[in-house]
Amino acid sequence: MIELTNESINSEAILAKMEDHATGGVVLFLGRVRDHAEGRQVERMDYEAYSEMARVKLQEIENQTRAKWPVRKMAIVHRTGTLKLGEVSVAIAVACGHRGEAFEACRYAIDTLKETVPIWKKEHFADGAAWVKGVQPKSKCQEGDSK
Amino acid sequence: MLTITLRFFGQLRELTNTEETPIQVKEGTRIEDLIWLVGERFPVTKEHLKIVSFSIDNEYAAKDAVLREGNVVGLLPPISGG
Repeated sequence: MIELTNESINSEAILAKMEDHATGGVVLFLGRVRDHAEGRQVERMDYEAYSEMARVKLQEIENQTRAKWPVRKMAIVHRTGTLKLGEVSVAIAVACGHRGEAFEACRYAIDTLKETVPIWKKEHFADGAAWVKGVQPKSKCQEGDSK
Repeated sequence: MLTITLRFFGQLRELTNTEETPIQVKEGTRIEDLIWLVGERFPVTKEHLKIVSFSIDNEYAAKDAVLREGNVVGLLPPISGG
């Protein structure tokens, strides 16, 4: 499942969705708001999404991940709005038969999310604010890439 | 003429003070032509348009993609999700 939400991300609830006795490995990745960026003290972060397109891209990532690894359960949740330090901005959980494929699948999903999903963040400092520089989006999930 | 919708995000939304706006374009207009039109209508975006990516109806679009009536075109600064 994929979700874009302006409410707090509940990682316990996401892990509960990974329940499956055929899976021996569950990997949960949490991205959260860091207190510094390029030597400056960050106070909070705004996340803005192109919601309709972001949902399309998140679903593509889930589909691609499932096509590449034997994933039995998967969740990708991304937050929008204003986040405080330490708040979770993104959560990705993957449950597979074995740990190796779960780690690889989760890594692929977060790396691809950063390259393809139209979301922007703005860092607020004590003395101002700035949009994060960002990367040129890749138009598709990379085919045949199993890193 | 065709009517399409422009949607601005992130820094471009702030600079233009616009979330979305309709714009009229000629038949056969491509994304690369639209870049020029956007720069004329929103001069504040000009220096940013070089690094902007475009979407048509929720899919990334190439510079030579041809616009159709009713398309929703996103102007997407470099992304920074996660």
